[in-house]
Amino acid sequence: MESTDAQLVERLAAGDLSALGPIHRRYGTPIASFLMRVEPTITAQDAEDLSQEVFLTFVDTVGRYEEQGQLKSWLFGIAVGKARNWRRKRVLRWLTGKRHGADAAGVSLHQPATDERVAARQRLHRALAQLPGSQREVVTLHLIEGLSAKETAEVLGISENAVSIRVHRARKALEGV
Amino acid sequence: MSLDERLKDWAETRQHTPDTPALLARHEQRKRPWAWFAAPALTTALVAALVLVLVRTPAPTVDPPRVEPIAYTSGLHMLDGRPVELEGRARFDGGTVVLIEGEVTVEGHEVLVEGRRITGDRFRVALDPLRVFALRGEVQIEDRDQALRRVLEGQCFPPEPAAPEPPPVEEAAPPPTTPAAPHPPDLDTLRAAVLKGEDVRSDLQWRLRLNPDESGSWTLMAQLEQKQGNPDAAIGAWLEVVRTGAPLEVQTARFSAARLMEHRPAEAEPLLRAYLKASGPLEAEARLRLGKALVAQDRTDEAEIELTRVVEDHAGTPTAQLAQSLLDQDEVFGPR
Repeated sequence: MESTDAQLVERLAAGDLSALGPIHRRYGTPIASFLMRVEPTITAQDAEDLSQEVFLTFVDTVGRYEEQGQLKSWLFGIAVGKARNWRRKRVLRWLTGKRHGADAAGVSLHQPATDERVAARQRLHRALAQLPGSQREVVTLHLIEGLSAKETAEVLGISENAVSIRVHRARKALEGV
Repeated sequence: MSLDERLKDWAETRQHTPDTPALLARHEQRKRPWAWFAAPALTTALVAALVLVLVRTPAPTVDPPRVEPIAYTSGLHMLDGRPVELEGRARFDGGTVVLIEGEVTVEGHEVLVEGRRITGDRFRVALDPLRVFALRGEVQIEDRDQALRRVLEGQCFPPEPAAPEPPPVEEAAPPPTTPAAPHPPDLDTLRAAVLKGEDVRSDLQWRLRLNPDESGSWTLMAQLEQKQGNPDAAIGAWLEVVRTGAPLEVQTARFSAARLMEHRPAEAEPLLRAYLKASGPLEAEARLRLGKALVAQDRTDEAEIELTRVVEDHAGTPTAQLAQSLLDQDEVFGPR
């Protein structure tokens, strides 16, 4: 029988590092995909590196993990922090002329669309990339990853009311695209 | 297609399945940093042994790879299976935490600092000037001349001036709401009561008498004191959460305490800096408050850096507008 999240975390906290593999196989794809969605300039290679950092940070802090929430939400919380750091570093890279990631996404966006669906995706991608990071986080967690408003609020450390406001603003910005 | 459907459709183009073996290899490599140079060193040793056999002449001695102490920077680290919370720089050398700068909170580790050897259950050591806080159990400080000092739980070496008092727990021994009950109400019940505005101070005090390190009770106590308009008591309780809580709770507590310290900017500053160092969801608000705290201390140059960063990093948000309006105050920052 497959171990539950709680059992795996308990083993990891007790120093059994073989529990890391099953946790990563269970949540690696959601976390890496989340990173690519919350920061549209993150490439697959960046997502690989950043998702590894998420899980290594989790190993470092597993002693403080609390089972009050879902493991997935806890991991999303770490991933949000990594994405924000990445965003900050990207600005620095941009300022120092070392472009990265953004170009990779930019090139594909400027290729001519082959059909209307691809064109629509590109428009949405551009619009999402232009949203403030705080709204993109809420859109990704709540509307795409399917976390409830309460879970989203817990991951981001904001109130449910703030989640609703940000979703409303993001919708307004994206509806017309 | 509705917006939600379009978002899901777009999300399908942004998927990645990371490589589990790569993660495990990276973790393994992190666990054994010496592995990078162990293999070349082993090859060198084998070649040297072969040369020795062939030419029967003494070969130069090949020193075994020296395990360098591992340097750490700010963050939460697990060393020997126990947490080390570092704000600054430290080395981990043969089971001992050598603090280089900043402060460190450890559990059961030995800390070496300025020639002093510090041991105990759970304690915090800060540098410049040296301060040792016994967070749990007794702490022993062995000086260079082997003189031994003891710091009791909740005390500090050298003794510090009075800090904001947390709300009293022991005194007044209030009667529990259900005197016949063998246990205090659980945290969920108390949380609901605090949300409803009920005064459950005596029940919280009951729980804290049983476990003074229960961060959940301290959080509720802080919220209760805040609701009842007792900011100093609320600050004291939030600082207890900083002492006892898990990282996310600690971050919330730092921010909440700092928010109540509008008139105590010098005390709010380290809390906000610690919050920003650990990266929290309210980064913009924390940095704005840090800027205000610095202005209040007449450190306008530092304040300008923080406020400008809010404006640049969070352009278009109300927080950035507030930061900009502060920067636009000629009487503070001079005409631009």
